[in-house]
Amino acid sequence: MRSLFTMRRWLTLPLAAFALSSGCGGSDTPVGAGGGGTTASAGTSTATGVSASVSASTGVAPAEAVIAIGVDADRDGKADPAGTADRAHRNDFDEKFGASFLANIDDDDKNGVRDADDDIVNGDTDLDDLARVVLAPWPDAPEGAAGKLGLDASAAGAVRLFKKGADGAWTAVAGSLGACADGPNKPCAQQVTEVTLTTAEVRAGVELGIEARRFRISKADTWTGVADVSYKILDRDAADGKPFTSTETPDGIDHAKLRVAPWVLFGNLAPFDTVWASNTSPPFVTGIDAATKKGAVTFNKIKNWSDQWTQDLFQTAWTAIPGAGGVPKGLRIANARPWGRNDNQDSSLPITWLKKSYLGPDRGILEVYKKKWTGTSFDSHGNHDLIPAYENPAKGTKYPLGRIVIGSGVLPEMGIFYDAQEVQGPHLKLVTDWLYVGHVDEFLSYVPAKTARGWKLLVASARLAKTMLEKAKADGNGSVHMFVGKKRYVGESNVMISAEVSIDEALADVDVLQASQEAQAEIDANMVILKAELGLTDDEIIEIPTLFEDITGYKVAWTPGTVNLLAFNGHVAHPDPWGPQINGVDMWKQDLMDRLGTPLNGLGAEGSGLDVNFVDDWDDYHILDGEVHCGSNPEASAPFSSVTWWETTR
Amino acid sequence: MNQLKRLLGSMTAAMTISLVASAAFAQGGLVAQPGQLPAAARAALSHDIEVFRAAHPELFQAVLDVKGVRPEVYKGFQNPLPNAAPELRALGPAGLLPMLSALAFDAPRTALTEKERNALTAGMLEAVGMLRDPRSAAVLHIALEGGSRDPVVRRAAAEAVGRLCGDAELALLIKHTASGDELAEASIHGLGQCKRMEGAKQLAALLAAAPDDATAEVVAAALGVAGSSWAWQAMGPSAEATGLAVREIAARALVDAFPRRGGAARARIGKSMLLVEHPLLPALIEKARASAQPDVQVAFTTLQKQLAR
Repeated sequence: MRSLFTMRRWLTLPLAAFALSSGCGGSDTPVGAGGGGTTASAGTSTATGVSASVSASTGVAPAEAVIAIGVDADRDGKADPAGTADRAHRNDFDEKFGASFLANIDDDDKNGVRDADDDIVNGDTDLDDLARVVLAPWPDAPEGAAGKLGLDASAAGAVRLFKKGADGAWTAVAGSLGACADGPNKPCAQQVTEVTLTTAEVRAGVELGIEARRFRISKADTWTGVADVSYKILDRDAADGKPFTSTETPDGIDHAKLRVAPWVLFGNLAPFDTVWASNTSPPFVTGIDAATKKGAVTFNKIKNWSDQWTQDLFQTAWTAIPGAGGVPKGLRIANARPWGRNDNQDSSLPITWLKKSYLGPDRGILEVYKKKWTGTSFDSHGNHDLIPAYENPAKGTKYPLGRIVIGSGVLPEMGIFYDAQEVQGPHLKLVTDWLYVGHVDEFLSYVPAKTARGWKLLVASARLAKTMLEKAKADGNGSVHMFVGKKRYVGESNVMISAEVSIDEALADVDVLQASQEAQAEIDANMVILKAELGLTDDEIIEIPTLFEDITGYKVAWTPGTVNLLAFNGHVAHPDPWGPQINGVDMWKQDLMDRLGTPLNGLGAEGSGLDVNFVDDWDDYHILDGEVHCGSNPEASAPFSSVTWWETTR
Repeated sequence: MNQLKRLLGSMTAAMTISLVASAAFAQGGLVAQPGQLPAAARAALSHDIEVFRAAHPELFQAVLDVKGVRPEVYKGFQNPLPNAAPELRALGPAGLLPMLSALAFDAPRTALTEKERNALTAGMLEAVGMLRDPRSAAVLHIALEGGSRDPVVRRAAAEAVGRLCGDAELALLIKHTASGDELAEASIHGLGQCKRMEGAKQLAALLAAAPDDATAEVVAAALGVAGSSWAWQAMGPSAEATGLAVREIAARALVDAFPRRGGAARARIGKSMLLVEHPLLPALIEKARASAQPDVQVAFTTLQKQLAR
């Protein structure tokens, strides 16, 4: 597949004969049409690093018109109409050059409204989220000259330009203006594609800020995710006004194109700094707390939401553009699931919690679904994950930012949205309709490894679980119990039934063994897909023992699903397997510590193994059909990833 | 005299049980109405139930109070659908009579939506079926033929009948699979749970004659379950010979069907071969592969690799 990002050149213009550099003049200043007169050198410099200056004219020859847009095409965090690279590549987008801007959907002023949902700049931090577009000054512009700032019609429904006035105030002037009553995915009240600039503004130059009010939704979206900003200067503000021209803009109009930054999923290898989880289960909280403390990660306990399946509520992701000093600047963006737990009560929708407790400075929220209260368990975000970065020469594929993987039954608009972001798609689809809950995280996970690929796949294995139990039995431990002290609950009368079962009994359980073998066949079929797509070799796959049971024809982990884990920064938190205690040691715990926590499989950045933790999720998650990953949700802050999306050539 | 007292005492107890049973059973169960059970079976079962109820009233209450079909509970499940099966299965054999009581005589009186009631019924049938107790036969027969329009309930009933799979159950399932009636698909699944050669032969015949890929997919899934090598292993050494025979029937039928089916049906047939794992499979596949079309050869090769594990 040839990426749409690859060496995209929207418009080819001659490299700048135009040059705006502080203090320069004379021979470098093109001469052309336009007014004459003498002007003093003028320059501007702002806190955001935008600069523009113009030389003095001798007054002998009329200065050429200056019709020039500056954007941050060289990705140094500055939009510089005098910068050679910014000018030369203002219409390009490739791995080295090209400007971009943010979907500004965080809430910097903490008023509960996403910044892109109102018509104002919400303070300095919001201003920092606006990419800059600078119209170069033309100090010699003749009286009556009128600038025409344009934004292409396809972008005008989703993009907005703010103008910095002479008084320093910012005003929304072009693009999508006014209320967006139907939400950010619909055109807003007003779409302005052309703005007139006064002679004074033309002479002084104009600083603009650009933001998107949403991400690109689909490849079929009328908006391609690109904003085409144009600029021309007429001799007078009238329908028959004549455009000035210059050497660089012989047709009298300059263009610059900026690409909206995509929404990019975090994977297990992201530099996580935060983990979200409900505080409803004390043993679960204790386990996550201990693990996150070791990893120096903030544990945000959710105390105001009854839905404990935190992974399912929203997908954590990021978006960013180049910032000053080479540091990406951007936002964490949570994508909400379309349904809540109290039928048709919007107060239980995940977006309600996100608005209340997640939305804030540099934390944005998003609804991709077309209609709330649609979808099923498949649309919980445990069924949406990221395969870390990989390259498969056999298929000629390369995913520097990883590839989104989803299971069965996901609402179509979600996959369409993922693919529209370009950088982690096309998404890979696995088959999860054999599972009662139906999520990819029930049988797959990924951890860092010191290998060429940088990670290894963890996959649930009923085969391994059975083999381990058989070996324990052969070693004379068939009477040893697993799930010791754990119970299952029955009835309102709270009849509590011991969950304990011996190895012999487990191996003689026709239904568990049959369901486990059925699950294994389904996992194997998915592994055929994964191996082919990713080019994985057997030594890049680590099996995690899990037995399954059947619920009305669908499978769910019977033993705590230890592959359903939280991974962050070299740490893993598994569900406590409550396995058979042989010689005082839980054989399943020991197995995980041996294979994941030692150099045996070369896991972790240094290959010395991961820090293996166990969380008691039995009572509050396992017997409700989920595990640790289902109940937790990690995220990272800037720079979000070791790879920037704009360098991926996708 | 003492003997007379004991006799009178036992008669009194029996009359008391009978009166209690009459009152309790007036409502009807989840799958049966009073009078649907054959008289002898009804009498025997009601007696067993009342004796057990006297000893373990809490288990009957637990069955009537199943939490997993209450919205305030199942909305907290990860997949927030009503689901009674795991909870009822956890009762183990002690749950049999309380569940049969609920199925045949004394349904929970909690107001349930149709979805919740179906989930309760299906979950209870599944839990009863997994106990494989002949005392459940009469109730399960009625459950299968009772006319539920819910496919999950139908399948649960048929699979429970299949797990029991005495001669009468086998005949019942074969009858419905052969007739192609509204219970045919559920009964195919039921035959999958039946670990008998006659059931496997019927499925093999159905697979060979399947009119379309969709039917073939359902039958192949059941055949894989019938021949599950792990299930047969769990049944112990006494089942080994039968297991090998059933698995061979399944293996031959699946290999034969594989080249003739496409898409999801072929994928399902392949998965079922992985379940069956009969020692003859590699040779059967190799032989079939030799004369197959190129795309089928590739698919067979993939299967061979998977089986080699």
